[in-house]
Amino acid sequence: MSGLIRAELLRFRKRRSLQIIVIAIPLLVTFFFIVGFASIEQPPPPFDEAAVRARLLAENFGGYVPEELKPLLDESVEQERYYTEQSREQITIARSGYAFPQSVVTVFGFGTFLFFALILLTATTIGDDFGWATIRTTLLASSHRVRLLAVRLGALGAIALGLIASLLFLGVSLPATLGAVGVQFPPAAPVNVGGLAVLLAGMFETSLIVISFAAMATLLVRSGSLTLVVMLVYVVIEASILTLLLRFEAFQDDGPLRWLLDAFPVRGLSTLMEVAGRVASGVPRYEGDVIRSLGDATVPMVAMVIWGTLFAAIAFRRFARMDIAE
Amino acid sequence: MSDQAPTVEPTYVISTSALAKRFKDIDAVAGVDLRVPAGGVYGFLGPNGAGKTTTIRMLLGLIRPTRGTASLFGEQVASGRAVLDRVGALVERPAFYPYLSAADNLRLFGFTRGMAESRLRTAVPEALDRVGLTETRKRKAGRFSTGMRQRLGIAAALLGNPELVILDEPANGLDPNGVVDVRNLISNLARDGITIFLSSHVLPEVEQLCDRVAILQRGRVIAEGATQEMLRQGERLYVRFETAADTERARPVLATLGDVSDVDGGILSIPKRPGEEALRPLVEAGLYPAELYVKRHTLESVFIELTGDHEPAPPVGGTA
Repeated sequence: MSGLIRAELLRFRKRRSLQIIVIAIPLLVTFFFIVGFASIEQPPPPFDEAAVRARLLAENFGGYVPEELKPLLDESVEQERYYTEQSREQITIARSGYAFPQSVVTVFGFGTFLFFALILLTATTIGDDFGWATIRTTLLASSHRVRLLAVRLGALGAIALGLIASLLFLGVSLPATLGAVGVQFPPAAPVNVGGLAVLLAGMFETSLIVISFAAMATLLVRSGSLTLVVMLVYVVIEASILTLLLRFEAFQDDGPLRWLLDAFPVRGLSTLMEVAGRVASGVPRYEGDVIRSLGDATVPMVAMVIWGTLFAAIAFRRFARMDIAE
Repeated sequence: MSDQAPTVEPTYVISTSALAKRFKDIDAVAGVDLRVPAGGVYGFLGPNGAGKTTTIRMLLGLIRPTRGTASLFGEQVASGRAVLDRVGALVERPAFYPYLSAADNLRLFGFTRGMAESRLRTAVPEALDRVGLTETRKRKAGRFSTGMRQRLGIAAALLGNPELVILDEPANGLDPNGVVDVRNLISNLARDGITIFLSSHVLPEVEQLCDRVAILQRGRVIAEGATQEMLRQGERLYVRFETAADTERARPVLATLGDVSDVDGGILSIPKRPGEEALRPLVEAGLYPAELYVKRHTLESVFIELTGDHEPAPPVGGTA
């Protein structure tokens, strides 16, 4: 087994495209973190009633007699106070999402990059063996197919774990680094530790499912590039099925079968990450925003375990029984 | 090369029983029975599409048979069986990771085979040296020529000191010097007690190297046996007369000695026998052949005759 692990390490150490995919994740997340923060406008200055009153009076209220003017002006000032304070609050919340510890949750919000990277890595590492026919060479060296695939998927899982750890590190270090170069962050609310744990577990679980699915698809079509097409086709099919189901009342907002929608792989993953992310953050994004409970992540989490197991089982069975004609 | 006549129950390194593989509606291998004894070089011949590579792939667990069984060292072949670790193989065009150097490809192969780093430190340079790739050990396999890849494939097959080496067209893409090198390499391996199962189209090579051969056609073994025996069985005595009339008169005389075949140019042939044995009845009948000779069959002519793809090669050899 250690030989197989060494072989995987050697393959990875020497394959530049794999390294680029792995390195690209923290770089992309850093880039989007900075761009995301920079794209949030500065909050408006604190509400200055006298200045607003003077401006409104100069702009809009010509021709009124004093008895009519006062209530109208008061109403307009109050309206502007409300909008200004709401805008200040929303912008402050948005900016505080980039301050530690909320920055950790924000960074994990870019998890889609990680999942795409894992699809590429899996499709590339398994698919290349068919494209180059090196699968034959590998199986001539060792005929333990199940062990070979297990080590390869294990290596991809380890890469996923490493990437999740790097995202965690970025979530902590990016605000500190930006703060050191003079960027000002508003104070951030503490994160919900339970929610963060579920978010991390959800990231890892999702990674494993993505790896299993990509491995299964690659082994079924015997090609890395076709795997990407298969995944795209699957996303379209799932979206179509969900759209169809949503036409039935039972699947709509309060319908008894609504939970079933979260049992679909892509939708389930999305719900899982959304719920865990929101609970971990604990901050409503707008007035009246309801944060769902962690219990809402149960169905997708369980469904994902089942899907992941199924995908992996198909992948192993396929690999164990397939004829190597390459 | 020597005939092997085991007096005790032989140990078969490879044995197959009614081994068959069907791809959709094509029977690539249609029931192959093979018994390859330990030691020596065993030739596995057949025209293109005869099912040689498919058989080899089944022997190596790369392809699952549709029916029948394949065993190595008495153990049935299946994915994950330890017995496959005792086999080194080169199958068709060897494939390597193009981004890895020759040495790294062999290290990767060795790791996958379960060899320790310390052992590979000596085994990899040795294997590269054995196939003449020491100077290009650092060059990426993606930049290798067909012949160099073939040599690297042979090096990989020998890594880990296997007891059985299966070589499928090892001379493919090699220059004449390379072919000679491979021939010497196979001889040396056989001398070291390693059993070689050799599939090749280079029949003179096979004839020189192989103790036994099996000839496959349309997925079935059509001939199998010791190489020398097979060559002897094909030998015939050729008799040429000056006139067509003599040839016609000689036909019934020769028919008393065996089946008579016509060869172009008024030549008749019968199964090989001592010259005087054939000459006596002819002389008694007043017939004097202009030429009497034994055609020394080559494996190539036997192969062509058996597989019937081409006309037999012109006779070669000395007069009797």
